[in-house]
Amino acid sequence: CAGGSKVKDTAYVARDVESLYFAAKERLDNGQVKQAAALFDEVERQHPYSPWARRAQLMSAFSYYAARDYGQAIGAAQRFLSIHPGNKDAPYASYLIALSYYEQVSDVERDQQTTALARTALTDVVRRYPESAYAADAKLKLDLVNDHLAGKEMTVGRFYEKTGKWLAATMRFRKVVDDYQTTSHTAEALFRLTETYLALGIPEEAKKAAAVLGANYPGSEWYEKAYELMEKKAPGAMGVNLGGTKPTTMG
Amino acid sequence: CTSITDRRGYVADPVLTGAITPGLDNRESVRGTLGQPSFTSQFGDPVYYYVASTTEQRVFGQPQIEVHQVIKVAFDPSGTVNSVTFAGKDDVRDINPDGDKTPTLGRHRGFLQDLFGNIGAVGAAGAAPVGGPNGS
Amino acid sequence: QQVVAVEEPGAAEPTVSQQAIIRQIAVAGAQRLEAQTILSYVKMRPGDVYTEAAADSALKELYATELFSDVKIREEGGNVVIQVVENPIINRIILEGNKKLKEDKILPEIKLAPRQIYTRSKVRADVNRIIELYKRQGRFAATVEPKAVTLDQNRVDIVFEIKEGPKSKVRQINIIGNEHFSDGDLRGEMLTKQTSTLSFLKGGTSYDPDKLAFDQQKLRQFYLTEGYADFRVVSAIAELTPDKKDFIITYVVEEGDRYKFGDVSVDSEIRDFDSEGLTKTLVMKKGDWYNAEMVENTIEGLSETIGAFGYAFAEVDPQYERNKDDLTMGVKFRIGSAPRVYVESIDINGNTLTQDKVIRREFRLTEGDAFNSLQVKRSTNRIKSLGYFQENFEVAQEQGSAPDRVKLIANVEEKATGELQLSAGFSSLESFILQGSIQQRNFRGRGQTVGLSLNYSRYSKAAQISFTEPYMFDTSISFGADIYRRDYNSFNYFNSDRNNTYQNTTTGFSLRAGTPLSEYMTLIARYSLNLEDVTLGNQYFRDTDADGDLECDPLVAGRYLCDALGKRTSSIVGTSLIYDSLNNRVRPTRGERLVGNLDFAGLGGNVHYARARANAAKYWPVLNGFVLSMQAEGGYIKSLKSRGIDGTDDVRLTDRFFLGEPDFRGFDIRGVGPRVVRTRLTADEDGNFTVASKDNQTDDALGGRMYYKGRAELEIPLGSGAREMGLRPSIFADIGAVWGLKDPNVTSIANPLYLQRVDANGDPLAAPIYTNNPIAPDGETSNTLYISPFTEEYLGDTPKPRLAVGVGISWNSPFGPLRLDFSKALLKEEGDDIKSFSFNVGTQF
Repeated sequence: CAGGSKVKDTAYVARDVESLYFAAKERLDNGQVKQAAALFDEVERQHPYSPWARRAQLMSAFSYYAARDYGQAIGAAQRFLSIHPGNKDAPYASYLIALSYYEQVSDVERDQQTTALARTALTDVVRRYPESAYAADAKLKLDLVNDHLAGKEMTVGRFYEKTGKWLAATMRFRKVVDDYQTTSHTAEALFRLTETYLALGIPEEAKKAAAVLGANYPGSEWYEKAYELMEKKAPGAMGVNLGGTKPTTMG
Repeated sequence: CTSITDRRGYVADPVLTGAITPGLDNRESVRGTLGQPSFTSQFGDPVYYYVASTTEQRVFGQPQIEVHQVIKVAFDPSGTVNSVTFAGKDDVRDINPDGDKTPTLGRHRGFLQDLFGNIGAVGAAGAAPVGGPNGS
Repeated sequence: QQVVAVEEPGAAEPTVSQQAIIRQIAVAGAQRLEAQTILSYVKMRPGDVYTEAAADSALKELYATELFSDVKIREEGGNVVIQVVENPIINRIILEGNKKLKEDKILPEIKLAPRQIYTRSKVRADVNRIIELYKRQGRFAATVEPKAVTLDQNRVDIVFEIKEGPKSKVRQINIIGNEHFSDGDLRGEMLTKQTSTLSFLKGGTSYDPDKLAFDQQKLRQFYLTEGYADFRVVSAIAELTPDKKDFIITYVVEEGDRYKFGDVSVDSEIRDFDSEGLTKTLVMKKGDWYNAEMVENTIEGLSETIGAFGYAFAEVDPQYERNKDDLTMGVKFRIGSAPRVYVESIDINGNTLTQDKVIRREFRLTEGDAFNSLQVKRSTNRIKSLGYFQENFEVAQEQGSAPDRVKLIANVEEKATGELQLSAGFSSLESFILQGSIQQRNFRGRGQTVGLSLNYSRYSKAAQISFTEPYMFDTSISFGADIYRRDYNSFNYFNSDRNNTYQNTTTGFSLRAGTPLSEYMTLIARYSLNLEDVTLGNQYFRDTDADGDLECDPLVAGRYLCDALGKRTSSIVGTSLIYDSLNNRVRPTRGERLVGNLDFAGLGGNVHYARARANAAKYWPVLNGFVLSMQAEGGYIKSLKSRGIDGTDDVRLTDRFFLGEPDFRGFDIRGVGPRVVRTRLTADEDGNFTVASKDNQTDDALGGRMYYKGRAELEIPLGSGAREMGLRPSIFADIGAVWGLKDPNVTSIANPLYLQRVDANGDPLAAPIYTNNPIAPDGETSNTLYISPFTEEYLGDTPKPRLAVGVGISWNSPFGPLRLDFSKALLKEEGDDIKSFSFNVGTQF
């Protein structure tokens, strides 16, 4: 009864696999990425068992990525990975997933769920395929993503500071110091902690934060600001160990 | 005239705070009576901080701390309490947060994109990803 | 179930001829999957010992992957061959025989999709899903027959052949064993209804076993609420009617006796709450009839109270002591000991456009604070009032990283906050009004409102740019500014052709700043500067006192219009006090809003008045789903400097209060309140002007110094289908009046005024002379009629209430909010203009 099927499926033009594949390849080369992706899907649908099908799955994922249709790209790449986990192109597929998330990272004022997804995907690439060509770039992007997530924590922390919610601000900046130590925001986080601990009336913790800032980032402008703030707000608290020069020993 | 009072942070109970005796209590017993601290010191020897404050916000003003108490429970290396000290409103310093900020990446939304960004599908830019890495 | 054969290490090997060590493993029959992918699924490795058990577990593992329809493992002399037949790939999915449920309803429910692997278990799961869909529709006789059509290249088309079968109805519900309550009462409690003539309206008459179980629970709940603690449903049977089309449901119940409350108390293990104090607050007293619902509500009330003091995860569980002899039920509400919970983090997700702080600043509690259920509810309401997110938004709570930590999560779904408003209305004077405005309520995702409104209607043209920032530089001070240019030309009708009376152009700006006084109260300070210019059409000008320049002719324009002419600047400073506890500013269902405004004009400029306005609105949810709203408004304006013109009020025409469409439904624009009605007289057959006819009357609204207006509106909930479409009908009643004006002196002229253009011997005059006789002095040329006689009356200046009732429906149509109002004026004063129908449509982008 398949013959009398009502569903008129225009794409159901049975063409032999090579011509279909090369039609898709050609579309991809001259930039019609959307049609290319659709044709690669056709290759996989009509000839699932041909060796071309495996290649087509990967190419359709790439075409969707090139067409900025990240949702589809992720879907296609995952389908490839679920069927051919051991394939030699598996690193490329998971790298494609990571890139698709990475491209959708929005600025720190907005929702960072996609950034978190990008981080997990990038960590996958680095962990599963450490020697692959993509691991290096994935590691680089991983740092950028972490830096971005730290940036989000800092934005929220600064908002709490500005609206007089000092305890909430302290908790956010501590999170940056604990979880995002290797990012570019740690120095500022330590300076902000100096500010919030002073505002909460705990100068001794402010001093510790400033000392750690001085020890790890001696030349940074954040440390100068922290030093001046401590001198102004808790004179003498910095006391002996940070006297005139700024020694690098731990406070 | 009237002002808005808000209660921020830990809810201090003088009876419970009084019950902590240095030399006797240790971390678990402090946690049992006072509950988890607002935060513990990140560097140097361990101290539990419980921060409780009440802020007042006058007309056209910003919330200012009116009543403030920080309970500091310091422990010696073996984990027993060696001092319970307090900080009050006079320890509070009026801080005006510094204006600079560390730059961040990510696509900043242009002016026009903001203005007409969500005419079509709402939030077209950050379309929700289809089936995260774990979803098949 | 996969039974894993556990072998004791070192246990004696079953004696097989001689241990065959696997030398290598080969895969045969795999077309799509690669060999080493298949090997990766199996635990067997070259070098292991080949045993029956190992082969058996390998078989199980391969089947578990659901990738293969058949697997065989052979071993000869150490090399193992895994012979597989892969499951086919799905090419297309076809549904046949589905008439009542369309394809777009079924396909999303099915998990199978083209290019996926065909497995019998997935097909069976989808068959059940389709049957479940039909069950929910009450079609229990529906059957689904899956067929796989094999194609070349090991592909398969899946065809679901669906036979829907008749909709089985519940013909009758009978209940046995109930003495205290009639069958009718009990049936009223149930979800499933008997089929009756009206059943097509109510629905719910289809038979559904799950609903049957739910109905039993409803019965139990009903009896427990009435105090029958021993109530039991002995049996509930559904039998097919002889003609096998419908069902008859029979319940056998055992009511038992009615209980009273024994001693009731609260026992709190949390230090902060003293048990006696809480016991006093309990609603039920010893000796009242036992009521399970009251117990439920008390538990909810108690949890809310303790939630407000930070104990988010504390549990209130009732302990019952049933006493069978004196039929009493004692209840002790035990509050389990729990730590006070603190907010560990507030996470905001889904905001792809709105900035994080725009949502975060609406939270009434913040990280580090003690949990407080009231503040969480208040935060939810405030975020909903922004009007940027989904209707059913709720702040979610999640267990934090420690037992006494909670995470608050705001998952928002943004909706379009730009509004393009186009409205058109028909008024009883058939004037067509077209208004358009563009507003973006979440400009650049910063929570700012930017509006550009261009109103073009037959009677007014206005352009306004407005900007509001609720939190200036992240402080709690809100700031707003508008710049506007309004041309308002009033008009009246003289036997159905419209002529403009006066134009009032206002250009100006206004600034406002607000600050919260308390959670619900805000204080606003305002300043606005308006440059006004009232002009008249030149047909009203005539050289009345023959001094050579044209003045406004009161005969033609009317005394009140001539006094309104001229330019003036009004510089107004004002303040407002707002109390707003609405649960949702966009679509309130509960709470009230009171606003008091005080304005002084006279800080410079040449207009001096004091104006006070107040309005109040209260919303109640009534029954289930109805929303009753009562609104009241009033205003009083007093001039501070007399203009010293008799017959004209000291308050200028453009500053007075007017009432009419659109805020007073049932009446036309400025249709209510004091007005001058001029009736033109026409000549009867022998030439003198006595006939006054209704249809050549003109009326000009003058406004008033005092007004009040009230409205009661009941929003009627419709079935869920209509609610999805956003249909919200309501019935309303508007009442109000405008009055309090120094009586203008009306003029009437008995005989017509002519224009004489020729002198006594027929030569044209330089300037026309106004005369009363129709023929020019030269005897032949007749003068042209300049003004026909008229009488003027001053009407409508009375506080007596005007009343209009009507029905209206607002509908979130696909292209935007649409509002239709049909209204009927019940009480009206002579001179009021009524209007029965108006509609207004807007699109959202």
